[in-house]
Amino acid sequence: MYLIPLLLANMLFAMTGEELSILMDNRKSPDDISSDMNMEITNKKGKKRSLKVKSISKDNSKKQILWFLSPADDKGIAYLKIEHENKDDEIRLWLPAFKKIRRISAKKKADSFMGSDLSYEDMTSRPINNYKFSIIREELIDNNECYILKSEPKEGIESEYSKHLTWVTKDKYLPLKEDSYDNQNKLLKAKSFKYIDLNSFDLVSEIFVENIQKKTNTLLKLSNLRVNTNVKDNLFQEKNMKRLPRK
Amino acid sequence: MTLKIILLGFIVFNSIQAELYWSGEINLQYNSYLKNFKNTEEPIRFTKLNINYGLSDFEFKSNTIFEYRWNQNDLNLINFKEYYLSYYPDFGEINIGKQIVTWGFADGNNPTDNINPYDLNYMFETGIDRKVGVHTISSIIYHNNSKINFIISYDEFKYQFNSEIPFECKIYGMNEYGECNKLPSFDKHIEYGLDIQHNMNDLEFSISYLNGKDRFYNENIQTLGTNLLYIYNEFVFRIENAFHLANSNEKFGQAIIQIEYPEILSLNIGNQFFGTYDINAKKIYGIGPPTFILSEYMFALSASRMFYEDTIELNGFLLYNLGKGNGFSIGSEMDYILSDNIKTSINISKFFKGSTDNVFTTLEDKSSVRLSFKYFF
Repeated sequence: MYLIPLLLANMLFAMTGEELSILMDNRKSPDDISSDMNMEITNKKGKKRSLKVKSISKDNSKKQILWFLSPADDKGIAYLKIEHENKDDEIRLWLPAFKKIRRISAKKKADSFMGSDLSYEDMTSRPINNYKFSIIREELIDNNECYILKSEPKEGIESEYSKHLTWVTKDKYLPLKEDSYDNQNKLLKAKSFKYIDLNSFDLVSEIFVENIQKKTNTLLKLSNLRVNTNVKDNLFQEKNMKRLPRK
Repeated sequence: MTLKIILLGFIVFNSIQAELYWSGEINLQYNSYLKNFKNTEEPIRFTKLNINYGLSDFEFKSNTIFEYRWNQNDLNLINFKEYYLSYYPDFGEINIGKQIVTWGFADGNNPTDNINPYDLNYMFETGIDRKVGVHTISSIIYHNNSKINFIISYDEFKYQFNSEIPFECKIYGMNEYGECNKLPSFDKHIEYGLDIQHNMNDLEFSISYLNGKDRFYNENIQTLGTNLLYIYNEFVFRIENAFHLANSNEKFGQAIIQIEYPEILSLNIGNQFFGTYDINAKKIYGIGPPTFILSEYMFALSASRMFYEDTIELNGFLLYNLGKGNGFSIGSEMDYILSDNIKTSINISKFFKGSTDNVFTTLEDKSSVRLSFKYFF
């Protein structure tokens, strides 16, 4: 009985959700990316505040270090994330006012990242093995033919979301927008992504996240993007959090 | 000629590679007692200035503070809190100069962290604001999941406090010296220590050793510290224990347990339980955080939440004396973020005396309100 919709879905779309997610994951990506991020956070009343961050990441952002350059109150704070496959991720903060490296729980995924509409979960990658994928339909967005991919966390996987619907381009497997639903299955966040082509890599240059329930939004713009600059593994060490990177 | 070329090369190299960063704050602040709304005699830090100058793997760092006392109308308190040179080789880091080195896993009130003495004018502040810089060579070596921190310091290791405030001597039992408000003068001397930390998935631990002097008595004291951090889902446990051995063979311990909870109703909640256990100590030593010296056992609870579209941050704080006579303190601070660089805040700290006379009886009169306007740059 349950086989019929599954067979129909397989007949309708040229590939399965799992296959699409693997293609997305295998998309050509640089070994490392450096960028300057400008984060503009807008509250319900329309009041804006901005953060400037320098970022260096490696291995598809599984290793990432961020240094906060502004606002002045936060200048010098640094964030180090190392994702592991067989053990829990590590997240550390350097707090200059305490002169301390502070490890925080990587499981506080729903917490806001520096007061923005991005959560720590939004900042970490989604391991394919932790999700069930299905293609629910196709749609045209800005003249791009897209699959709409549904990703649901498997049982036992902790998440602030019950599911994500992602509009993925058919040609390059790039996500163009994503709706994320809370655990009551209500739309929580709507995200959209823009890309630039750099050294034949499609890199995210802009992310817009709207928290539908709070009526707030965050615009993250990336500039001075550089790829494959031979970033070494030992950059992702505590000592490098303590000093702002050279321009 | 050769020298000129070298100098020119150095200047050109400097201008290409060197980076200068600065940050700081200007703070207009007024403190008054709650009992009569008269100005307190406490100094106010009206400017903080951090300057970092980096060149290749070297960085010069400084942290200067300008203080002011309303009642004395003077502006002569320039405090070069830190000025040191950092070098970052592949294996880790080396820092030389006047600096603050922090040990321990808990967020403040760290019994294993005794490298820098405290500035008692700011004993209820957080972070390095309440520490005094000392001349130190510190190095950290990173190796896989471990790090080793070695320090050697040469200084007077003097507590700083406002000599016009009489309550410190009652709090810290300094009247044993006959003349209240005066701490014994210390000669410059060497202190040294080692902290070895290891990370195992959700568990981190460290063992430390510090050989120095007690901050009240001119007596050698050795501290053996142990730290543990354990992450269980969204809970984080930070545990510290310090075992102190004085030259007189008196022994005592200090411990803290800190628990951080998952966010509930957008509230960030954490609490600490800390205290001193005497083994055979006959007096109160001046080692460990000043809050440990206030009472035998304490319970602290803090909560914070953002309101009104993230423009108002409200912090609440409770400090309860579980020791003799009880007594407690409640505090609340409201920060209003006017813009990216400007913040105003109001802070109220109220002390309540207990059933019998203790430190909280003395502190009751020191309940105060603080208004501040901060500009960050």
